[in-house]
Amino acid sequence: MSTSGLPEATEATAPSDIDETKTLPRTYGWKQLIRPRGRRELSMLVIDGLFIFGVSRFTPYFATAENFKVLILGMAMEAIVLAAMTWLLVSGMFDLSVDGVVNMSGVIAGGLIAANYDYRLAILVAMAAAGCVGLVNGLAVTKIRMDPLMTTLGTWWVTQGIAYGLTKGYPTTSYPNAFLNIGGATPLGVDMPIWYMIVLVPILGFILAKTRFGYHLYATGGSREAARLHGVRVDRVTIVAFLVVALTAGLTGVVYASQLNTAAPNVVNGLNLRVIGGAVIGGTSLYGGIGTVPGAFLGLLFMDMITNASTVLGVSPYWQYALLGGVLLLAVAADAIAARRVRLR
Amino acid sequence: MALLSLRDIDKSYGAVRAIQGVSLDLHAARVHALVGDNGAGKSTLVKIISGALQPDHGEILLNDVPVRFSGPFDALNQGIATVFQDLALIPTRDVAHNMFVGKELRRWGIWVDQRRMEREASSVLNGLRIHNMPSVRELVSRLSGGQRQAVAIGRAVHEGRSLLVLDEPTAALGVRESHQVLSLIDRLRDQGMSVLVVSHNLAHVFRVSDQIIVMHGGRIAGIRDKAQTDQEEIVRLITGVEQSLGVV
Repeated sequence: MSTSGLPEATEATAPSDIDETKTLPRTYGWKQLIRPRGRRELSMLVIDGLFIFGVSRFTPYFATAENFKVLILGMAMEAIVLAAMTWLLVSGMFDLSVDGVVNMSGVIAGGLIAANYDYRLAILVAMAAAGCVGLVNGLAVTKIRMDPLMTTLGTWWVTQGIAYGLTKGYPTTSYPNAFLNIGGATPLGVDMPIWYMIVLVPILGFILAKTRFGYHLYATGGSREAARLHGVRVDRVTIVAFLVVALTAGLTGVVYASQLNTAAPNVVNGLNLRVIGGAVIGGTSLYGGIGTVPGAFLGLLFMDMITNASTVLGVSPYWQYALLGGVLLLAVAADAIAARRVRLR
Repeated sequence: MALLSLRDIDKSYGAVRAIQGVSLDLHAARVHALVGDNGAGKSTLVKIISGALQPDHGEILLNDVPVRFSGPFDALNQGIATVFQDLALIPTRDVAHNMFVGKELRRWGIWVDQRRMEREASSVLNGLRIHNMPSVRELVSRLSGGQRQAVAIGRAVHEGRSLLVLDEPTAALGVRESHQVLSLIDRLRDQGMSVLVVSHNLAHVFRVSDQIIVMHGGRIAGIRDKAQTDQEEIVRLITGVEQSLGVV
């Protein structure tokens, strides 16, 4: 080979492939075997445990079966929305419109039943309306590339406005027993919302963690462009996640209307931030690609325990907003710092 | 028989003729280097081969059959894998998933078989004698530049099977990691793959390639077997000196 003025020539042509002589390990990963997966879930579990332990030192009324039954019942429908929101966050998106969708679907179902339509039809219409909002969110964000923050803020206001407009501010009430059983029955002594949670949250968690669709949610959130290049239908994945979030919100609206025997346009307020906050506390990243349903569930449990404990301890509910907001900010800060380390940025 | 042939390919961006009349053959078990100055048309040519761009005129033959690629994914399905400079890896996922993105292995058609993906990823990497990887369970974001390059190449080999296009594979790497990637390219040739390497680094080009394709001003300035040329001639072709003298 000729000589040249290029400085890399000598070092690059030298036969110095260092690893060539090393023997091959038969398998990879023995180091990883002792590194537990789900560290985030484990630490969240410890935090939840410490919280329960800590609060029960101050009051005997917190760590009681009765109190936790109330806590879990209040958390049940939120947990379902949370599981769906975890999908969406993992795919790199989020949805603020869930409050509006819950209120709208409850009002639609309640209003139709109050107008003497069959309750099954009413539920169907309410769920369909919720699904439409999810599709609009998903299509707007993927196909028109609208900003998810402003889009879902917009659909939140639209659905909240529909809820107010349909009721003119007055709740409907007095539904037939068949409808009341949907949220109010207690088969085997367990309230219906808890049954919904027991069935739906593990299913949503399984789909995220174990199926190809779930892997595609992770891939889409981790790097949309890379996922697309390798044949992941990133737009479809995102739209389905938006749709499922809206459907869980729709179900929540219906169940709340049934449980309370009334459909008011302001039944939930701040569910979106509680759910997103719970997921982020539980290790789901706002930057996409990271998060699990069990982790998010433990994060939401933490948030709801803070609310519950401060009530038991006699903290004014007005201050609870500030407390939850502070916890949320801490979780978002931790997420941002972790993202800086994990991401190629 | 050539694995992939380009015949008289033209591509313009508006009034700018990026490449004109490009014809070349890529063969199995050979490493082809594509060199040229900035703006010579290398990137456009790579994008056409990888399916990211469609030529305005001309023909692409894959195993003597005319083909059209609707996109990189289509080209991939026909056996041509491209590792672009950004590598297109998913930093938040482990090595095993990155090797199977978009075609995750499943058990009974329901859940993803993570174990099998880890085993196969490990055997692909072992087959390429990439053994500086901490684990197939490691997140890509925790790997070094060379390790990421190795994952991207491993995946491309696994997906592409016949032709591998590498866009500046050593540009972002240190000396030691560059060597590892170059000897990886050697092994791909030994396994019968056709490789097209785009590089600015002539030392690396001469170290790894069998044939050097030089572009200048959107045209092929020369195609040389490595044994019959030297760096001085290649530099002359890159800078266009021979063309202006009328030698080619």
